[in-house]
Amino acid sequence: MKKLISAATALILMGAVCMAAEPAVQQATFTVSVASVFELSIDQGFIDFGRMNPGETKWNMPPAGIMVQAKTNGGKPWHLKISNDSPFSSGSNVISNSNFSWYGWTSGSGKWYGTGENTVSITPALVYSSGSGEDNNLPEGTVNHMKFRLKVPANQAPGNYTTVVKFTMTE
Amino acid sequence: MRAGGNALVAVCAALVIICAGTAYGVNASAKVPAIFSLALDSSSVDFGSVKQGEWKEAPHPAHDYVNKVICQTNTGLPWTLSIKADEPLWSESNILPLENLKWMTTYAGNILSSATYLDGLVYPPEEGFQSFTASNVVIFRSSNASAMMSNNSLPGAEIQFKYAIFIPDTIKVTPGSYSTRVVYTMTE
Repeated sequence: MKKLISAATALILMGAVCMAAEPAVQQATFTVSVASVFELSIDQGFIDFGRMNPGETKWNMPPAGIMVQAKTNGGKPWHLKISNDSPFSSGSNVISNSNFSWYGWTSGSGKWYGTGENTVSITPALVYSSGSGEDNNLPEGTVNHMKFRLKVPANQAPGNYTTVVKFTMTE
Repeated sequence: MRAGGNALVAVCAALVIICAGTAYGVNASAKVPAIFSLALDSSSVDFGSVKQGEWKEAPHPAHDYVNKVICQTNTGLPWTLSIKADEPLWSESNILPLENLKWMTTYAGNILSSATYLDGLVYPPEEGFQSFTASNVVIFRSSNASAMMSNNSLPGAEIQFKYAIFIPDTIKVTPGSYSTRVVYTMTE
């Protein structure tokens, strides 16, 4: 009888060990949409050539240059272009775009199109094309530096002349 | 394992009857099923659109938590709750490292009895968000929850979670929809 009880006790203990529950498991799906970035920024939006005499040319404007920063994580080649909506004008008087040019340099690895005598035009013109690794250039982006030259024709009528220069980033 | 255990118990019961063969009377029995279950109230967590450099918590408009698990057991044994993510967040062939996905526990207790089991949380709310890992991390130990009885079958222990994601702007990430699967495991 004692042997039987001992055997039963042993089996009960074994049974208790075997009864440990299976792990209970649940699952959840986590989703995030990483936003695309395609941004262009400039560090200053106003350039003043100041007072100029007819026939005078001013280079190196602005002296520190405009910093044009392009950021993207789009994974595609991209381009920076420059244009203006209309030439310098003051009322009905105009300084043609042939007197207004841009130049500068790039900190990027792509192609810089500034030859030194690039006139600003109403039609967007290439400034820079992205290079290797710049299809995703976060977080620093690619920085291009722009300067401008303006020549006031010798027979130009007096006035306050303005123009709006646009930078465009395209894929 | 459980089926084997039941079989062994059945053998034991037969042996006990043999031993008690000289006794007289009526035996009444009832079988109380073992409960060891884990329920999840929401199996989908969507952070929406996130920009690099942005810290974003998963939205939880209806509660002050994103989802919760309810652990029930009547086995009398201590248990633990673990959490892990199966793999990094994927979007086609692009990967978002798992360290960018975060979790935190905000509450542990029994809603009906208002008992709290916060001392069972391995990472209490004041420790804030923790990064997910691909291996199980124990986040709750019933043995540490002083107010908890081993049998908490009704209504069970409720553990609430919040989640966050942070994609630093110092890494290159291709835009897209990334996802992974998070696994909650209750173990004795």
